[in-house]
Amino acid sequence: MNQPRPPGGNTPMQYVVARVRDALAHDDRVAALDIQVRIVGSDMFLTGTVSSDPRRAAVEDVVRGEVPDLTIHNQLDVLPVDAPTGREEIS
Amino acid sequence: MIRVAAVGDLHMSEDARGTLCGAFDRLPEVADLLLLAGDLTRLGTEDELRVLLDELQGATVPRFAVLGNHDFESDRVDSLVKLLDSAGVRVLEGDAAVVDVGGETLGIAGTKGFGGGFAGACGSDFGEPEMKAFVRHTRALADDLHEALASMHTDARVALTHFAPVKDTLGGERLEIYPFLGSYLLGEAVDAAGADLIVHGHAHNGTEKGVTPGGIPVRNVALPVIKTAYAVYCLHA
Repeated sequence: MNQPRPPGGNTPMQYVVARVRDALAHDDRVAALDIQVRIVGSDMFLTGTVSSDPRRAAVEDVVRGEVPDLTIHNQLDVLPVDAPTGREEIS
Repeated sequence: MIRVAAVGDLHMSEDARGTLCGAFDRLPEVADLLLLAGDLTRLGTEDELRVLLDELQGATVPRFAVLGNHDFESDRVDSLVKLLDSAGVRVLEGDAAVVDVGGETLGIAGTKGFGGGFAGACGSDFGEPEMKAFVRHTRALADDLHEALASMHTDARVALTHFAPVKDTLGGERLEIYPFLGSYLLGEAVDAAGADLIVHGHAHNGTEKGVTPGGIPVRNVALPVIKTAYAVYCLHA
């Protein structure tokens, strides 16, 4: 059975996902290994966390460069970095 | 009581400058020391590390770190270790340090650790040289961790790693990548030597709390997991 392919493309979707994840790992603006990438039809969803707003935007730039024909949904969260309000007793 | 602050996977770089200093300025009020569980930087460069050191300036407590896989990316490890050392952050790799906290002593043993997987579903040092090297690297680091822990006779002991020592704290990660997230050899080493707590990072999609097969508490302090600038754990020696 043929693998699902993004509309208008000849590359099976799982290879597209792998290519995008590889680009996110190796682009110096991002260098992230943990961003989750999912394709549904002609939409690509990005989920996970990043440490700043510029890095969130950089992820989207890198992905658009890899898959210009897909609609990108940047659902990445920017991590909170407040001091903790509690502590845990280890017994 | 000894209050241990810990965080991993800060992945610091210039674009995040100024985001952590507020929380670290308050750290001395709530903790006696700080443990950094690796991936201090995004690409392992001196410039990125300097940003982190600037953020840490207010954290005027004893500070200890292990490196993570991201810190190796630019092949600048020796330089990074020197930079950390000159800023008063002691890097542990198969060795140990002792801190006196109000008359109680805390021993800290650290290693980056490495992957390989967990008992029943792990790599073996068998076959191709690359596979043997992979597993033997983890085993060597685990052996060093065991030796470092066993060398200390302190009131309390903590093991600090980047890679995970148990799979308990990987819940939320995809099963397929467990062998790249940690190794049971690290947990086995700590169980054999004894400790009061293990702190690790690396598993961004994991969970905070776990326990080794020998009953030692494990905490995954990766920033995306704890969702605060650091977590604080209180040890009662």
